[in-house]
Amino acid sequence: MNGKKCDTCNKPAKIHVTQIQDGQVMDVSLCPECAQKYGFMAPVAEMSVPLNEIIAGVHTGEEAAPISPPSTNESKTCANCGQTFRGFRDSGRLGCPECYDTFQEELEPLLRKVQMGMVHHGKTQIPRKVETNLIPLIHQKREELRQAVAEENFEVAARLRDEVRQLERELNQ
Amino acid sequence: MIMDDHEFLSCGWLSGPGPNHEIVLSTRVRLARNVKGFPFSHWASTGELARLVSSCSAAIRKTSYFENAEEIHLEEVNVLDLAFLRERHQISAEMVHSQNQRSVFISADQKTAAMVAEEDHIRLQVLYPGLDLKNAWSVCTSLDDELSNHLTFAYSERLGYLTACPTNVGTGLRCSVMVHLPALVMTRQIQKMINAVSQLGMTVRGPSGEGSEIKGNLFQISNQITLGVNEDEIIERLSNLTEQIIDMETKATSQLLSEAEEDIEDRVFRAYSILTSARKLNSKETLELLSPVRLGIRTGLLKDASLNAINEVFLCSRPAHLQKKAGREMGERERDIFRAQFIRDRFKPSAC
Repeated sequence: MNGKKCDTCNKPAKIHVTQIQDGQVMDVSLCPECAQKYGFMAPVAEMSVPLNEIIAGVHTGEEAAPISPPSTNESKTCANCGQTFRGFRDSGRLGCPECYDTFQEELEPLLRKVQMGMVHHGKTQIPRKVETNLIPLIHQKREELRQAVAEENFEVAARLRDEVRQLERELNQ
Repeated sequence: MIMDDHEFLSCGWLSGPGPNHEIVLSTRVRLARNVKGFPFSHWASTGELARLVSSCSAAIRKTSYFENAEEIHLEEVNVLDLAFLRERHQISAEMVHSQNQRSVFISADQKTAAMVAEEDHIRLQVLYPGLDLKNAWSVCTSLDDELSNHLTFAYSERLGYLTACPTNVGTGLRCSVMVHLPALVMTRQIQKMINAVSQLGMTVRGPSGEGSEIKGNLFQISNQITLGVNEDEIIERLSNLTEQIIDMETKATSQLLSEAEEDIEDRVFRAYSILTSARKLNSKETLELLSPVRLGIRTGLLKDASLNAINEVFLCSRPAHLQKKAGREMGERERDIFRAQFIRDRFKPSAC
């Protein structure tokens, strides 16, 4: 270990850590200054950083670009709480539950990136209303999709995936 | 204060023979909930936060789990006790940084906690020893049901439970298991495991969560996806995945023992000797020594110590725990000496 140089600035390294980054196990050697800078010597690792990167990537990522709204939407403000989309991007947090409606369009690429679907499938707080038949239909299609994938029936699975996406889009409108 | 009780220093969620406890140290299930009609905690004004905390606390007190629990107000807690609660995973990193109007309820058996005014208004958490996701979830969901009799949560038909951060929206459920995988590390199969895990929408981290360093071959595996899947699927997938990892680790252990038993034995006993005779031990070295010792116990090579003792040392040799045990604040050097003494005492033949 003696004589190792800092991976970022070439000064003598004092801190040696093993971390998982983007799914890769990495050994990192750092000098005290860089260790401080990258948070290895902070009392508690900053928790919101990776998420901020994901959120920041929403508007820059290739995949997200075509469906992302232009960045002028950054000043869009929630009428209920005053949080802006820029504020959300900087902090990683929405201001209030209504922000989900206000920023629905802006949040969609992020949700697509980090989540499995666009519709909740879990516990319900209140009995489901009958005003929309779309949700049970989406549930049914997703179940069929799961079945098709399990049976390796990929042609059917691809069709069902597109149908689910279309239904989710309709529901979101 | 509850944290000064001797009982509180015990670690019910780590000791006790949980399922698969040879490889899985603990299971954690966490549910995020927010109260309808209020901004999220970080966005609320002082007045809103005060009203929010008072209605959340009143509701939590009405549940069967926290009927007699003491509410710990974090602004009244000193720095050492905050670090102590954090080491036990009973408060989040966020709550260590900002204690204003935040509080936590901890059940008598220490396995269940409700954090108030965290990133989300309420975070329910259940910690169990071993791999016990289904039971931990069943406690968490029944507590959630009880709470929803007293509070209306922010919920949408489309997105489910609404949370301050969209990475938790939907179920608001985050489950994790802490696993000890020395054989997968030694046989260089750990990367393969991490790749497989990330393809399943799960994530692998160091023992202290996001951004933490890997120490002592301990890994935390948790679900990343909270929307588009239901709670049972999340629990089932993580359970199945953990069972597969246990299987991989068990096979790697057999491989090591059949190909290099003497080398493993040597590593185990060297570590045990240092751990039981050193006069100064720092946190990192302790975790690194505990790993081969744990492997030695699991494989039957080492019969002088128990997994329970290892688990207790794992938690109680951390800086804030040592200082609570000593009943005073200590600097790093003094802690290292005290830690070595504590470990020697814990591994005395009569103590195990």
